[in-house]
Amino acid sequence: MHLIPHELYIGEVFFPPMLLNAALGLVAASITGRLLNRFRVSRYFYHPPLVLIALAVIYTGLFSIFLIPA
Amino acid sequence: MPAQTVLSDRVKAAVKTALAIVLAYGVALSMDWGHSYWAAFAVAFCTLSTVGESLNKGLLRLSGTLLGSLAAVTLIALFAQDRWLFLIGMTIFTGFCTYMMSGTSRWYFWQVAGLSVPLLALSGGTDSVNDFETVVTRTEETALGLASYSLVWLLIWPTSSREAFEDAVRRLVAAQRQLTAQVLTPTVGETHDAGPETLRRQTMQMQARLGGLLDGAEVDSYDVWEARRAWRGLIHRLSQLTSASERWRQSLAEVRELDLRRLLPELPEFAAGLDHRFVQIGRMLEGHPPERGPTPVPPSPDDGAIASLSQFQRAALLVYRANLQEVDRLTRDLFDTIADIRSFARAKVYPAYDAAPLLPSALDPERLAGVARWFAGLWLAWIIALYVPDVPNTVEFIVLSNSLSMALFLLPQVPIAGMFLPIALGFALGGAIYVLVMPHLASFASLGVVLFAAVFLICYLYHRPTQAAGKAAALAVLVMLMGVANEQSYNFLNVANLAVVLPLVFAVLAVATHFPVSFRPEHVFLRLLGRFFRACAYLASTLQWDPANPPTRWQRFRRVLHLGDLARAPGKLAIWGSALPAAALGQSTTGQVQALVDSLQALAYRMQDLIETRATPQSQVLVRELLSEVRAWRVALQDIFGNLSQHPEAADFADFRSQLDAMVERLEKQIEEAVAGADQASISTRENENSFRLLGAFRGVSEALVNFARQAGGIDWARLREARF
Repeated sequence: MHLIPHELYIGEVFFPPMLLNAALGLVAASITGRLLNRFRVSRYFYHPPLVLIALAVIYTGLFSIFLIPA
Repeated sequence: MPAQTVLSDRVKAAVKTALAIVLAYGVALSMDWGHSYWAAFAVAFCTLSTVGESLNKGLLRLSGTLLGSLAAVTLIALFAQDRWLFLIGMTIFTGFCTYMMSGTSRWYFWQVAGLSVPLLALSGGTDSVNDFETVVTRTEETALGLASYSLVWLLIWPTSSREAFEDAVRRLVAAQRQLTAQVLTPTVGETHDAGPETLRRQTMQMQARLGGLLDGAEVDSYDVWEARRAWRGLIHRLSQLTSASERWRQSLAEVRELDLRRLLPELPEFAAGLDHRFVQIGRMLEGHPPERGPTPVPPSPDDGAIASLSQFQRAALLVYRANLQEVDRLTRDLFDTIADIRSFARAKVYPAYDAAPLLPSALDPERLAGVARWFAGLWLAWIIALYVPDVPNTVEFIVLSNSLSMALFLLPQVPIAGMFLPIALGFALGGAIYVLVMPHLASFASLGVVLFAAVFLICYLYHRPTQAAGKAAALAVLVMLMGVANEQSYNFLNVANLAVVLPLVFAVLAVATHFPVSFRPEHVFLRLLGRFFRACAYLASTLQWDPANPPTRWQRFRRVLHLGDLARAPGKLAIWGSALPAAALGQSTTGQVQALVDSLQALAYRMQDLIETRATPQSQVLVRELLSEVRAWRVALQDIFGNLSQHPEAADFADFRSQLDAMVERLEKQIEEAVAGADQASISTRENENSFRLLGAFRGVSEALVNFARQAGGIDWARLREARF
């Protein structure tokens, strides 16, 4: 669908979309983690730090597909 | 001088560091040496509050750089053509340096040696001539940094390390005097204002600083250097005295209801003598000769009065007196050592060292876990640098990951977010100066002013000793980003690339904090607690060892390891307990966690007492009569410790209390029967006294366990164990 690669252009500097997606993915994962901590749902996970990394990867993938595609 | 009264220590320290960095840059640029910011690094990382301390740290940096340079050149010479062999060799060397950083006041030597290898090997590349030049430049720049701040520290507001060290010793002796008085207060009826908990905490903090201060004072003062062995002996004695005073205080609980003035009639005289001894020690530290030597001896129990006591009261009194004797012995040694240092002694004193066994510290699981954390951080950085395409500034990425991982080995409880803020400040300041200010500067004078202002600001903001690592990291990023050189070039990519590298470095550190060993405070706290009780359980099982049948080598080895765990765990638990986040504390408070740790420290002392007393010859009459009961007591203790190592929350105060009271009552009757039935000549021996002390030690451990159960009731264990993101 998006065969031509494109870049983000901020202040005369080109950035790959993946950088922004990864940053947003990390922020979204950490917000999700905090919410799960807040409502004490985190205790149902076997290894929360691993889940956090998985969430960051999932969010980054989702953002890359739907929000800022490459 | 009016300036000394106008300017605070905070401003003075910031001015001195800023001046030293400007001076180091000035010389490096005028000599046209490359990597001039390495000289600024030396200043940023080595400046401490006194001349001697800073010089000592600078010398450690220089010698560490030399060792690191040698290792880097050797590794490049051996494995220049094989990437993996080079990485393995480098990991072995740097891992060894990381491991050696623990438990020594000269940790900085190992840290610099360890971080220099990847820095030098990667900066120089594979060109051997370039590698050699890089190594030489690094050594030159480090020496220049050391010379710059030494000059500034000696000329501007100099602070003598010797004075700082001797002042710390004086304050510590005064604190010990007050602590001793606190223990004697309930027994001789005097009152004191200072709180014992605050005093004990202050004593611990002061004691922890003494080693580093002495290292500095040795460099600063020839007098201290000449008497360095005696000073080290003094620090060792002071540490033993702190532990002995604490054991003495613990043993007070069981004799509190007794009339000690009647049982130990010479106690007030002894208390006054002990106090006078501390006064004389303080006098000698001030440089005055003592008025008289230590005279009183520990009081002996009154035989008539002691006959009216129950068996366990008698046992408690003997334990109390044994601790009193130990405090007396140590304060006498302290007196003699200081008299020797100040040349007031008639004969030369050679303080005896009880050499601590190296094995428990060498195989400390937390130390090995720290090395695993560093290893995970470094190799993750390597793998990202090698296999992820287009990672910018790979050299900085690997060097920063390695340096910060090594720093975290030393202070594992520091949260990574706490390190991020100063580095972000250094980055923001350095980036702004590099992009907006430096292109407009035309001379070193203007650059010097900008440098001075930036360094001053960072040093002023991060002025506390606990912020030293943050200050050094912020300064390092600042000078790295500014990249000052004679032929200055500007490239926005330098800033942008570092902006990408820094989050990557922190991501690597965050992963290494959780894998392969978790360093979350609540996980470490529970891990240490489990290890502490496992050590107690094993050591309780060794009480059955028969002196006639010596244990196997493997059993002795395990015993030494567990004794090490027993001694170390409470101190580490105190550090990690204070680092617990609010979410892990739940309903409990930091004060309750501290009280729990204090109860574990008391239990550790009681266990050590029990093991030491068990090693003394025992009365055969009492051993024969009480064998089955004492065995049942030991087995019960073992079971409780074993259970607590898995479930510390299972400690039930009421249950422990009733078990202990029932056991004491049963034994009380049995001892009376045994004493009544035995030949009176055979029970007035020293072995008999040891047996009573052993019973007192058993009871002491049980009382400490009951106290732990009481404190454990206040902890929100469910929240502490709960998994969190």
